[in-house]
Amino acid sequence: MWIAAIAVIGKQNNPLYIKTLGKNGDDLKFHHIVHTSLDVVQELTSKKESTQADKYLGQLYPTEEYKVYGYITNTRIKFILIVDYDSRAKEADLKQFFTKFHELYADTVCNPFYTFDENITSQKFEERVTELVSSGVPS
Amino acid sequence: STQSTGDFRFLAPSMAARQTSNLAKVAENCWTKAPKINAELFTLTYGAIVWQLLKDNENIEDVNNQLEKMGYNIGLRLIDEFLARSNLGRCKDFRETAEVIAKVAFKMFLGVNASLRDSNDKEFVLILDDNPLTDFCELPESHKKSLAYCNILCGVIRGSLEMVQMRVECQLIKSILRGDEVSEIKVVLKEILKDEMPIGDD
Repeated sequence: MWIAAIAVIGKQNNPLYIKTLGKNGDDLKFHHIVHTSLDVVQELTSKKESTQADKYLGQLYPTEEYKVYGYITNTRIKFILIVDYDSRAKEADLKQFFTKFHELYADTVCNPFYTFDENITSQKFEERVTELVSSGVPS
Repeated sequence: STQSTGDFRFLAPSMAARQTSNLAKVAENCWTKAPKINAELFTLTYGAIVWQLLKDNENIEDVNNQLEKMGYNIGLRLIDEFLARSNLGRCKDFRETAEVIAKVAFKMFLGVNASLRDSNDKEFVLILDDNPLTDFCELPESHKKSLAYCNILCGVIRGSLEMVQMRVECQLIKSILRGDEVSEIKVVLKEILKDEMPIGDD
């Protein structure tokens, strides 16, 4: 699975963190994709008045070059993952990625100096996300 | 013997090495028997204390002092707990005190192994490469140079040693949160407080 970008979006749909690994110049495209996918997330979550722990939202919408996946936590924090269109990522792998990413997020939030709803500027988080993203999640 | 008890006063120097491994056993024993809480809860609680102190005080130096004072109060009480659980006797000199603090106390209360350097009759340095107080914590740039996040530990050491007739000064000289490899606390003996039986008497 080739990861192009991963983003963390806050409760009020404000971006808290975006990491892009695409070719230069695609960054803006990723920001745009993340933004539009938030609408899809909104739609999906308003429908799901369910009691099940359905954090993984699945594929949000396809574009020509990329596939977009979403994940929402019970605290209304959303993770948006953008992968290369060609990658044959299995649902299990994606879920595993999101779970690990969620753990990294939780660790960052545990920092007593992290202010909620602010951009995540933690060096440690950056390093660990880079590691997770490039650690070769199996394709 | 599997358990270290009683007085080090009468031990010959050649038994010192065996004594160290005995200390480790005592430490392991005490750690295992002690009731536990969730590490994350502990870390978050301490983080909340520091954060609140920073909010309540404008001056970071005040925060450092308050943390030290809190630690001091804890230390005054913790020493009796320590002595009761570990059942260790009097240390014959300051070097031994250092050993006991590093090998037994830190293990027993924080579950970590601390080591020593530059240990002599007047001072020693405790080295912590793992510290549950600082898990998840990252200091903002503005506080990195000035905030002694773990200062509570300095206070705890000072308070506990005062109850066993030693007046010391402790300082956090290196900190993982400041970018150092390990955290280090320097403990300097200032005065032996009179009013206790001289070593050698019974």
